[in-house]
Amino acid sequence: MRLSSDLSENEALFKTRFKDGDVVFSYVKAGRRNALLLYIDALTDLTSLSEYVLAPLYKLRPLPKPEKIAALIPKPGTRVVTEVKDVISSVIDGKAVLLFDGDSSALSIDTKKFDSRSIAEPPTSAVVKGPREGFTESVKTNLSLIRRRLKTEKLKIVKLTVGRITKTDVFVLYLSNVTDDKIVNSVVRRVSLIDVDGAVDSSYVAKFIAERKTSLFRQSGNTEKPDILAAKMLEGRVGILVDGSPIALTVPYLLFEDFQSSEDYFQSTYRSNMARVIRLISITLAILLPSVFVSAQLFHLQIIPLNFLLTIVNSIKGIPLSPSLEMFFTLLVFEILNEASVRMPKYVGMALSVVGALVLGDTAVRAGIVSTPTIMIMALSGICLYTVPELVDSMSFLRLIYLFVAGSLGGFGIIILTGLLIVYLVSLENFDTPFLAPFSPLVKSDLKDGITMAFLPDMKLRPVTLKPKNKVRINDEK
Amino acid sequence: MNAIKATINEKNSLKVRQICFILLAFSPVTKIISMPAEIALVAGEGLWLTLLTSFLIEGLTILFILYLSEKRGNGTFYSLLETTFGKPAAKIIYFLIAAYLTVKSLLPVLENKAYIENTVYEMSPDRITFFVFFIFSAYLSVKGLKILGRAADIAVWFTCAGFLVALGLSVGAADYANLLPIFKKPAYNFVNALFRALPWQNDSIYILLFCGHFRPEKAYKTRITLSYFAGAFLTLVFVTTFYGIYGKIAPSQNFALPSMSVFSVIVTNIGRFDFLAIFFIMFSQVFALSIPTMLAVKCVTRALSINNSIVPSLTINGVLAFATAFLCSQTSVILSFNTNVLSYVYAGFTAFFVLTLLTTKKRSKE
Repeated sequence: MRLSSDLSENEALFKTRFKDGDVVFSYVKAGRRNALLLYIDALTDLTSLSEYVLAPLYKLRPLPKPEKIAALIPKPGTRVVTEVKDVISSVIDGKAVLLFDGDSSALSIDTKKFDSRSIAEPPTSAVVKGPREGFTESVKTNLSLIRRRLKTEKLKIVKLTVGRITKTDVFVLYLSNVTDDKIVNSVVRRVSLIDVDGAVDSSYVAKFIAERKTSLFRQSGNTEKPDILAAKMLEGRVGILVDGSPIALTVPYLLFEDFQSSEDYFQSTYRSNMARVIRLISITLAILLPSVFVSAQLFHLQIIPLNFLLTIVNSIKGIPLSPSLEMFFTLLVFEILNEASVRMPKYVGMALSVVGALVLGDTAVRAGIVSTPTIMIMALSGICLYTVPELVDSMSFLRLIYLFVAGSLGGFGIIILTGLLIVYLVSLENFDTPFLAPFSPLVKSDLKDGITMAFLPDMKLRPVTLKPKNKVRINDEK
Repeated sequence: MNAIKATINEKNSLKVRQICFILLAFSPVTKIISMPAEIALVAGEGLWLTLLTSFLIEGLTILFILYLSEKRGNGTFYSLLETTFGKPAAKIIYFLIAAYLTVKSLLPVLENKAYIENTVYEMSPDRITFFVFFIFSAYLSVKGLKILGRAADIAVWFTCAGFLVALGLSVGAADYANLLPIFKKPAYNFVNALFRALPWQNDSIYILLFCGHFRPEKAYKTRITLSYFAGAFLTLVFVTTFYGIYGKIAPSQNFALPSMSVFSVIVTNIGRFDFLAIFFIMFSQVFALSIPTMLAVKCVTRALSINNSIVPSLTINGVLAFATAFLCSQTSVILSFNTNVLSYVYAGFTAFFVLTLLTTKKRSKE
């Protein structure tokens, strides 16, 4: 439907369309003619609108056609619109629209202004060494942070829109001379196919582009830091930024990415290697320690050293619960405390810690409901889990499954469950990239940045697993 | 070479490295439960020589199969059978292989069940405990060769670490003089022991079925054969250490693995951390036990020309689970039947499959 040349007719039409909304209708003078200005107060920069648009227009005599005015306004993104739907989408998008009396075309002027959080260190990825900048909710700010780090025309950004109602801007970022085209095309296709009413965060996009939507393991990496996103893109990954979300997605995602920290590349390689091995051991302990302890108590007493066995026997005397039920109960309390401490306001958090750790833990042991070794095992497992915070969701669930299996079937059950898990993990692929690479399938050259890492100058090639167009990272010729 | 590459089934493709790892990770772990005691029963001190000969024969058979497969254009065994004898004959032979593998997998399953229930568990577990293995086996069977290869990439480290710790703790207690004199028993015992080892020798059939599912690489025949011999070497070291520790009473030590390292001072001082090695080896064992069923499922799906392997997998594993439930109290009878009677049948079948490959025609370029 085209605009009418009668301003009052247009006004009546848009007042009906924007009924009960926050759109401002304001009559202004453009030259000697009347003009109707439509904008949303919360999204518009009124100073720049008055200074760069309304004031010059007022002085223009005679008023030229909107096409000519568009060229005169010093605001990029100004365009002429003639359709009603274009006026509506422009206003909703935060632009100001100027309708002229006696003219069936209008001007859409980009005067968007959003209040956004300033760049700060993300709380989930604090580092001792290395950049401290974090993404914000403004995608423009986030794009600028990436642009600042990747100063090349090879950085390509594909803009897509997701959400029938939210119309969220989603940007797919990649380096055209590095990233495999198949991966880029696949990401763009999957994002384009998302048909949902709204995507309020990048995690929505992550769930829709996942190959196995019901998988226990997430299938895209995420980061709140531009330096990590830039580093991953340099390896051949695709980045996804979603407007309104401070978390960027990276694909393809490999499980072992979570065992790597950005700090590993900034500190001594020896220290980084130690840290990575500790993380791997910690995660293994986090999942297996409670189940192995229960299984040992129930089925394999011979694996417990005699002195430790005596300690256990003394401490479980009079405990009414079976070892598996006791551990399950303790883990459940831990999960409840964890959930509550995340949701509670900070000032209550301290009280919760006291109640949880001292009152509940100590009293439960004194009351003879749980034994001291169980509390110790649970606490160690809980701490170990947080050495790799990205894996907490899936691993805490796995821990419970392991516990159930260990209590019912013992060590052989643990072995079978591990076998099932390994088969499942090795068969997982996202964007044609094996989830457990570079360990399965074994990619020798990629092991330089695996559980252990080589010295940075020795990492001459990009990860082969990601099939980069240009494999060479360090040029030795210079 | 390009024509060969094009016809390899990419979906099920293995890497040469993964085949090497399959042989190294899964071949030795099934041969250390009852086999050493069974061979010691007949061969006595000469058990290592018997096994060395057995491994040499199996290794050379593997090399021969790989050589023949290359000569025939590196196609799958099925495609070669189809080209030479026609579709019905190929289907019959594939059903035969499936039956052969299913029957042959029963003994290792039964002995592992007895081993786990009697030695790994101190408190007797529920009778159902071992049967979760069939869930794993059915799941792996559905997944196919590509996943088996990837699992081998991981399991190989468990096998190596397990053997390293278990043997490292055991060698100190072994008196290798127990293995002397080498030629004490008559030649009949040596030949008899060679046949008795056959129920645990599956590797040549595995290779026969892997043919056509991997890209030939440089020196692949040598690499695969050497990997088999590396696995065989691990088994030989285990077997000699086993006889070195137990000597004359070795034939009665059916499930010796968990008890071999208890004589170590390190275990006495620190505690039974050798169980870590036992569990590592057990991890590889569950994969090794599933390979025959997985290949049997593959043969059935190929013979029936179906894509969905869920039903064959559930059927074969269900049959095995039932057989295990009914025969688990007769493990020693099954063991003796396998080593005394079925071993000759297994030898005949292996020879038949290899000879069939020998008589096949070179595959036409598809």
